[in-house]
Parts: sequence; structure tokens; C-alpha cells
Amino acid sequence: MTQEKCPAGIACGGVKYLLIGFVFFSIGVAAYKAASAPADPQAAAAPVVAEAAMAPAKTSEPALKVSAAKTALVYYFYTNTRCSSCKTIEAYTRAAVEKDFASDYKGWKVAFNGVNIDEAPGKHFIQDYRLNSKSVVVQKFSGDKTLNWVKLEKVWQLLDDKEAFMTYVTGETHNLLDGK
Amino acid sequence: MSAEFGAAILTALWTGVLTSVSPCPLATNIAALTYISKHSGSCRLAVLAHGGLYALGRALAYIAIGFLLVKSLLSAPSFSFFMQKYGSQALSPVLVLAGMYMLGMFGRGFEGFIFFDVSKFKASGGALSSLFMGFIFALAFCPIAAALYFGVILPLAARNSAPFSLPLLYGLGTALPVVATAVVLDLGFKKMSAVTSLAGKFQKYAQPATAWVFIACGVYLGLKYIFGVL
Repeated sequence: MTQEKCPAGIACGGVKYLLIGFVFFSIGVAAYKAASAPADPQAAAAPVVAEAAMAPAKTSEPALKVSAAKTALVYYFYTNTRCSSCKTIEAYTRAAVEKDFASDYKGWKVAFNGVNIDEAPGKHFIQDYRLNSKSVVVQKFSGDKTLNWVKLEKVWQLLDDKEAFMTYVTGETHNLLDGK
Repeated sequence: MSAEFGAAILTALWTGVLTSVSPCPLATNIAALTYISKHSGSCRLAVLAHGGLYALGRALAYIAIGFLLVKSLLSAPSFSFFMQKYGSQALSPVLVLAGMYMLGMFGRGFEGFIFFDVSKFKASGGALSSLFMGFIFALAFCPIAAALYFGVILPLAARNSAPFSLPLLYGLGTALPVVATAVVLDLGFKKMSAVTSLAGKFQKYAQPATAWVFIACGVYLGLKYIFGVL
């Protein structure tokens, strides 16, 4: 390649074809991953149904619950792509549950549960809880029956303050468990 | 204006700033900062103008998505995860190709990435380039951007019947740290240029430096979101 065709004055030839190779290869890999992903009927653009927002989540982690007992799960929903903020949310949420719910709260057993919503068993949670991103949701159960739940929307705004974050998670969980 | 709406305005703006200063959009912020800053020295208010247009481009994207969700049957959760998954993936090759174009790697007659070349838009002062960049960068949703936009801003806009103004302010907020940094750098550069002969050297190296930053950001996004190695 001549200097005239490459005004930046760099060794264009090799770099140019390397970058073009990167572009085509990355497009190919992205297309392959998209094509080989398992079909998900809920991922398609679907009408927003108001009732869906309040629909209880399906119970897919029976091993974590004590049958016929009052339990609550503090879900952390994540995807295959992790980010530093996401890992912080997971760590703080787990820490709050382990610190403040080591023993029962008014008869409620509370546990932390991380769920990958990119994998088939966890995909339904996206619509169940109207998730928009990595999220924290607290769900109450009575035995296998799902009760109320709350999505902790402020976790992203409290990332810089661990104490406030943990207080928020604990407080919202208390509020949910104290309610009917 | 009611106190509640005033609080909503501040929340939208601050939420935008909060989105921008998180680590996740760092790559696109660096690319935008470099691109806006390269106009330093071209004319007195060039950086401010390009920064403003970049902010407006981001705001337009958020307004458009809000209207799209309201006026269509799209499910917000599905749309949010779709944009998080494929927005950054799509941006990777676009940034690499745009950087290659800025370096002249496609030859002089090629105009495929004309939006990124200010010289092709002399008549409009290169306005479209920064506006377009802001629009497409906003579409590459990070988890925090998705969480705050879909989880905070859209519900807030619905509660206050403000589908235009609150997404607009959120978009401006997401650009604010980048634009403020670019303006500060521009002022510093002008002060230094007044006592040295930096201006000529800056003009010479600004374009290739911006191009390589675009390429580096594109490769980073590809490695992270397509190949999953970072």
C-alpha cells in the first residue's frame, strides 16, 4: 500500500487486513452465537400485558425452600456477560442476606439465590418480574406457593455506598416479609 | 412547575450522570471524548457545539426508544435485554471500521463512513457526525443504562406524563461528564497553545489519535461482548 492511499502514515497493509479480519470474524462469531442460541418464545417482541407484571414467578428452585414453611428468596438475576458493577451488586446482596438473615426473621427463612437468565431454566423470570437488566428481586413463598415479591430498583443507584446498599436490601426484605 | 415535577427533572438529569460515570460505558465515553476533543482549535466554540450535538444525539435515542415502546407492541424487558446483548456487539465493528476510515485505509474515494468525517460536512459544520455518534452510542446499552433508563426514567416519565422531557434530560445527563471534560480540556489546550505552538501539532495528530482510540474501543467491545474474553 502506498503512502498516498494511507495518509495516516502508518504501516497500513498488515494492520488494515488484520482489522478487516477482526471485523469479519467478530461479525461471524456474533451471527453464529445468535443463530445457535436456543429459541426463546418470550424473547420475541410480545405485547405488554398488564397482568404479566403482577404474575408470580414460577418456582424452579425447590431445593432451596423448606416445604410448607415461610421462606423468601433474594434473587440476583444476571446474564452471561458480567460487568464490575454487576459483580458488586451480587456481592453486596449476598453479604446483606448472609449478615442480616443468618437466622430466621419473624419465622421467615431467607436465602440468596443467583439465577442466570441467559440460560433456559431462568429465562421465564424476565417476564415474570418484568426485568430490564441485572436485578435483585425478593420473593416470598408459603411452602411451594408464591406470594408477594418486590424488585429492588435502587440497587444501581446505591452501588457506591455498601452500607446504604445493604441497609436498602435488608429494609426492603423486612418490608415485604412484614406485609401481608 | 410542581415540586414533584422539579424533583423528577433533577432525578432524570442526575440518573443520566450516574449512568455515565459508571465503569461500564467507559469505552464509548473515551471514544466520544476523543472525537469531540479533536475539534479543539478548529474554531472557538467547536468543542462545545460538538459536545452539545453529541448530547442531543444521545437524548434523541432515548426519546425515540420511549416512543417506540409506547407506540408499538414491543415488550420493554425483551427489548432491553436485546439491546444490551446486541447493541455493544454491533458497535464493535462499526467503531473499528470508522477508525479505519479516519485513517484513510479505504482510500480517498470511499465514503461509507461519511458521518464520522467532519470534512465531508463543511456546509453544516460537521454537525451530523457528533449527533449520529451520540445516537448510536446511546443504543449500546450497558446493564446500568438499561436498569436506570427502563427501570427509573421510563416509569418516572409515565408517572409525570413527560415522555419527551425526562428522557431528553436523562440523555443530556449521560453526555454531561464527557462534554464537561472535553470543554475543560479544550480550555486548557487553548491556554497552552497561547504560550506554545501546540495548535499546529495538535491538528496534525488529532485525527489519527482519534482513529486509533475508535479502533481500540471497537476491539475492546468485540473482545468483551462478542468473544467474551474480557
